[in-house]
Amino acid sequence: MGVAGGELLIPTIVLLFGVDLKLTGSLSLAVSLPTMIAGFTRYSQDESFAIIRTERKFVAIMVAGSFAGAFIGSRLLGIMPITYLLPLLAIILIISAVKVWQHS
Amino acid sequence: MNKRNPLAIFNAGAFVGSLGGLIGLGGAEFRLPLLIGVFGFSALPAIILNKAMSLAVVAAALPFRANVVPWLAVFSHWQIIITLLAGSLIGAWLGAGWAIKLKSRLLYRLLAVLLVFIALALLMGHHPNVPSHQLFTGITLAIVGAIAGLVLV
Repeated sequence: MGVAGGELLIPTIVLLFGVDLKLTGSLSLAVSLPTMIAGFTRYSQDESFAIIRTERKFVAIMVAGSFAGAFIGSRLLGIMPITYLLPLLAIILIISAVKVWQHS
Repeated sequence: MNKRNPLAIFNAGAFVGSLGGLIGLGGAEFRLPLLIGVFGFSALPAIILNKAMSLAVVAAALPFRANVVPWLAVFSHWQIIITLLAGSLIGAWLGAGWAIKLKSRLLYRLLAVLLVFIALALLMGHHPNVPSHQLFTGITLAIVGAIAGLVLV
């Protein structure tokens, strides 16, 4: 499905362990990364993956933008008080829920 | 008019990527509407491109966040990581096999409802300080990991 993995992992860790939300984000990434690599490796022989090669310019620019964004987000993480992060995550989950509902 | 100008592509990537850096998400639900609505990809290519971009965000966000969340702090919680990962890898493996069946309307709707409940639980501040039971917690983690693995791939 390629959706909402982190949105499930992060609240689970927070709700079960009461772990700090900043640390939880990194824990979730540490779980997501190997999982996505495994899925990607398994799917990568599929012919639908040819789109990554045919659109390689688009992919390269968006990956560059994604790296820049991830960097900016991580700097924001350093300055943003944790009390703002929880409501932000809740808003993101609600938006995700609407998006996922619309997929169907 | 060419909607695929490089600046727009870069900015779209950066916007979604910032969620990865700030919260720790791949941002797939936020990027997919942009790939389809703004950049004009049809559904399947958009899904594949979205997976690739989410992977890029996740791979970049983890090291970028290390100055706020040190590696040592992350790996000191290795039990949580390993338990979730065990579940998620099984989920991903099953999901890859069932990929077509899983794209069902019901599953998306269940996931949407689940996300709303989780958001409400977070907002109500239900944070138990002591995990109720070690075994229960472990099983819950593995199950959530499996569901996350199913939806991630």
